[in-house]
Order: sequence, then structure tokens, then C-alpha cells
Amino acid sequence: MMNAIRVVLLVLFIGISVSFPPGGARAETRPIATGDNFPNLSFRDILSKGDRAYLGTGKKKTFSIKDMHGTLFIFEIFSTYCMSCPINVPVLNTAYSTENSDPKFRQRVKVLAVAIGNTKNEVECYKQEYKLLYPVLTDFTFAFHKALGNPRVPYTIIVKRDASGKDIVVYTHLGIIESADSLLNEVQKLLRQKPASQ
Amino acid sequence: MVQKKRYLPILLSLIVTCLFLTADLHGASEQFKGKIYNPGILKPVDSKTHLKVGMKAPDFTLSSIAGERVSLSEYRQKKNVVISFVPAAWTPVCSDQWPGYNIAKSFFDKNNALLIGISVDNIPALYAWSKEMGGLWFPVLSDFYPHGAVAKKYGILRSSGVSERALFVIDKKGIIRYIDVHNINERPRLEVLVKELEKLNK
Repeated sequence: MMNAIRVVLLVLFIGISVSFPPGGARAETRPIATGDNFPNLSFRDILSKGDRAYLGTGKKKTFSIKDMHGTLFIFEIFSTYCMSCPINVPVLNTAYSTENSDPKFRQRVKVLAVAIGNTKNEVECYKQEYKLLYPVLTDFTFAFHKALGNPRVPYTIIVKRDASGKDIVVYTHLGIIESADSLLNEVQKLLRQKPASQ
Repeated sequence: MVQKKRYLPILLSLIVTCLFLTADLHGASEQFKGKIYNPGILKPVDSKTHLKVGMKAPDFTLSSIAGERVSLSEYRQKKNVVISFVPAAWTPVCSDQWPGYNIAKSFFDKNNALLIGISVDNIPALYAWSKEMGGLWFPVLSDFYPHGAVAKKYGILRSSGVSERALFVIDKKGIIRYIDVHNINERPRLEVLVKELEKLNK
């Protein structure tokens, strides 16, 4: 019994040291940046028929980033509890509508968001309140957020898929996006960019 | 019996480890970077309210950051009221919780309810914090002086002088219909509050 108590105390000590580093604050790690490989995590979300068609995930309830069809993916990492996140919504709505209405880019450029630490109900409230047009995935357990290096929000990431299917981060932006035009210009620039030679 | 003894420390270790795997993300809005004071992990609840569902909600009058005096009794027969007590301005969970209610305004309107936010911070601190949060749609009241008097009336004043993170849902007759004295380190889930609001009209 004493050995069991000792083991528990050791695990407790390690747990406290890892979870609550000096200063009491959760340590900020380096968020994912340009040039990094984008993690291929899975989501289990019930998306609308329209969103599934848009992302190309078909009838799958559990799907990964690799299951999504496209060349350039604009990910908006946010939380429904983030006060400045709604400011980006009109910009992303414009990006979504502009790219989706252009036959040249409809299949290539995708706009979507990931709500970190939120429930599906919270996401639905947010979508209705701010009238989001693009799909929103939920990262209730923060697994995706952790894989991205725990960025502050809103954090916009553009991912480019190369010919071999590798997803690379080509752009990141923390905070409020300047304008829809600036984002769309960046998208056009990134689409034209040739892949880096190996 | 020998096998049970062998597995006991492993089982205990796993249970303890799981307690530390709870993720958190508070005050992570980029706008708050460098501006939030992190008090660390606190004792989840540090008071015991005498109030129960079915009792009359204690009346109070407090000053708002808009310069008004707001009384609970002025909403009797007019509105259902949700009082959201938060411990302190410029802290992580509180700085998420109140902006988070921005997406819930339609639920409040649909259920003829008003949200009132109260903390023991003084008016200038609450005013600055609310501005940083981009403004809030509900009245924000200061329970600063006499210090924590309303929190004390509601039985939720902590020994450190801040209030608990607590929600009280009060119907139009002034009767308490729901109490949530929440773990101070966590944000109460919005859908639970929405469900309680919807019950008021049934």
C-alpha cells in the first residue's frame, strides 16, 4: 500500500510540474508557421450536405484534412469566446463567396474554420449570430489547437497542397485580417507561387 | 487479491494522470495578450450559499459602468433575469465568459430575459475591461462598495474578497429557478444556461 501511495505522489508531482509551470501560466509554445507541415488530424463533425460537398469529404462522419479536396485551404482558428474573432467573419465570408463563385477557383480554394474548445451548440450559436457562410469544425478537446502550437486567436493559416499531396503552411496571420481584398490578393499570389525546389 | 494489489498503483496513477489532461484555453484572444493577469489555479469553490431554487432572490441596487443605478426589483413582472457573477476583471476565464454571451443574446431575447453582470471590481476597472472586450450588450454592475455586499447576500463571497463564478436564473416573480456556483477555474457551458432559460417559459 505504501508503494502505491508513493507512485501516486510521484505521478501527482510530475503532473503538477507539467501542467502548471512556474508563473502559473500555461506556457505559450511556438504556433505553426510558414514552411511547417500542416498536421493531418481527424475531425468527427456532422456537417451539412452543402459543407460536405464543398469540402469534398462525402458522407464520412470522421474525416481528416487529407480527405478534403482543394489546393489552397484557408483555416481560421477561433473560439466562440474570443471577442475579436467575429471581426474576421465578414472578411472570410467574402473570401468564401468570391472563391466559390469563380469556376476557376471553386475546386481549388477552400475556406473553413476550426472552433477550439467549443461544443457544437456553441458553434451553431456563433454561426447564426455572425452569419458564417463557410464550414466550421469543432476541436472540443484542443487536440488540433495543440498540434498547431497553441496559437492565440484568431489565427489564420493558409495551407497549400503540393502535387504529391503534402500540405504545407504558406501563410499565417494572428489577429484581425486587414481586409477581404488583402486576403484575396494573398490567395492569388500563393496560387501562382511555384513550389519550392527540393 | 495479489493481482488486485499489483494493478492498484497503475490504476491510481492513470486516474491521477487523467486529472491533469484537462485542456484549458482562457484569455487566449490575441487582443488580450500581455493584458491578462493569471491568478493560477484556485480552489474551485470557496463558499456555501444559503440560497436554493424556489427561494426569493435577494434584491439589490448597484451602480453600472453606464452611470445608472440598477435594481433587481425593477425587472419584477417584466423580465426574467440571469445574474452572472464573475470573480475579477482582467483575468482569463472571466475575459472569455462575458464576451461569449454575445452569441447568446438572441436566446435571452427569445426567453424575455435580461443578463446582468456583476463583479467586486470598481467602476473604472470594469469600464476599462468592458471597453477592451469591445463593449457588452448587458449591464455591468460593480459590487465594490460596500465590498462584495451583494455577493455576500447571495452567499457567494470567497474568503479572498472576490465572488464565486456563479449564475442565478430568476423568473419574473423574483424566484430563483437555477443556481450554478461553478468551479472558478472553468467557464460554465453556454448550452446549460440556454436550457435553463428555455425552461422558464414552459
